[in-house]
Amino acid sequence: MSQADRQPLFRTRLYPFVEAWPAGPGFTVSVIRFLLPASIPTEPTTLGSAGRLCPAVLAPEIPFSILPFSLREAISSGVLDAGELWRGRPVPPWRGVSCRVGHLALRLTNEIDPESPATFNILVLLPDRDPPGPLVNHVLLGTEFLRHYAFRVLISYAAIRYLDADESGRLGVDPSGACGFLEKF
Amino acid sequence: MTETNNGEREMMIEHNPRLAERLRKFQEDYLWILTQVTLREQYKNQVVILHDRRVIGSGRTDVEAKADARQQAASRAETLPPDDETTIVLVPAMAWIEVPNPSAQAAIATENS
Repeated sequence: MSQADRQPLFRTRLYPFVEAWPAGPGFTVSVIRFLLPASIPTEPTTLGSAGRLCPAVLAPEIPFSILPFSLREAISSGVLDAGELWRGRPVPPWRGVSCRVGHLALRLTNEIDPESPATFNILVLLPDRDPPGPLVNHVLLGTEFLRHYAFRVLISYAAIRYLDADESGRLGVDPSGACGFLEKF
Repeated sequence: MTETNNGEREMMIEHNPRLAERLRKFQEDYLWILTQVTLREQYKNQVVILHDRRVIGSGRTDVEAKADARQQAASRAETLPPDDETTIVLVPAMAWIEVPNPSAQAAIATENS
């Protein structure tokens, strides 16, 4: 039976989010990313607690998910070491910054059963510091996460609502209007 | 209910209406602050504590933001709202999409016609 004939087990909404993309030293260009307002448990073992807001964006162009240093400092909890899983293998740096490997539990609302949120255990790179350039204030969900859970990603650029351009011609995006879904069957 | 996956890490779906409601509140608060251009400029890359869509404390980390909220509440002889009525957000800097110059686009269209 094809996925189109089945009801997903999990579905959450994606929201548009404009982010500065470092094109080179001192030069950034904006890109639209797709955001999931998520949370992490404040204590890794307490799945019943509401936890802490921890937004995440899809980043299929990077191999592993990343919990940026500034966000890790800001939320001050919720990460477990996963060095054992990676022993003997090189850990890739992120934007020139060396990283460790950790685990993070990420919770998301679930439209299929709105009273039953879903929790995903994510393998994340933990950079030792913030890289030069624009700060990243959300988890980047890389290919490993999307592949491991075999998600379906649906995005409609036509559903993105734009704000009026300002006097310099720059466009804003209305981040409160959903423009896609992340689903798991 | 737990759905088994093709590895050790699994998706866990937990029936928990209270948690679900809290997550929806997180989501609403976060999407709200993303639409607030002035707040995003003022608090970019800082941690803020939101209560009823009002910033009650800010700082470099959640610990600093909580200390600031306590100080501000004390200065107004108020008590802090309970943790489960607040949302802690690391505010992203505002970013805009650069679009080609409309008058240049019009000139190119005229040349090509």
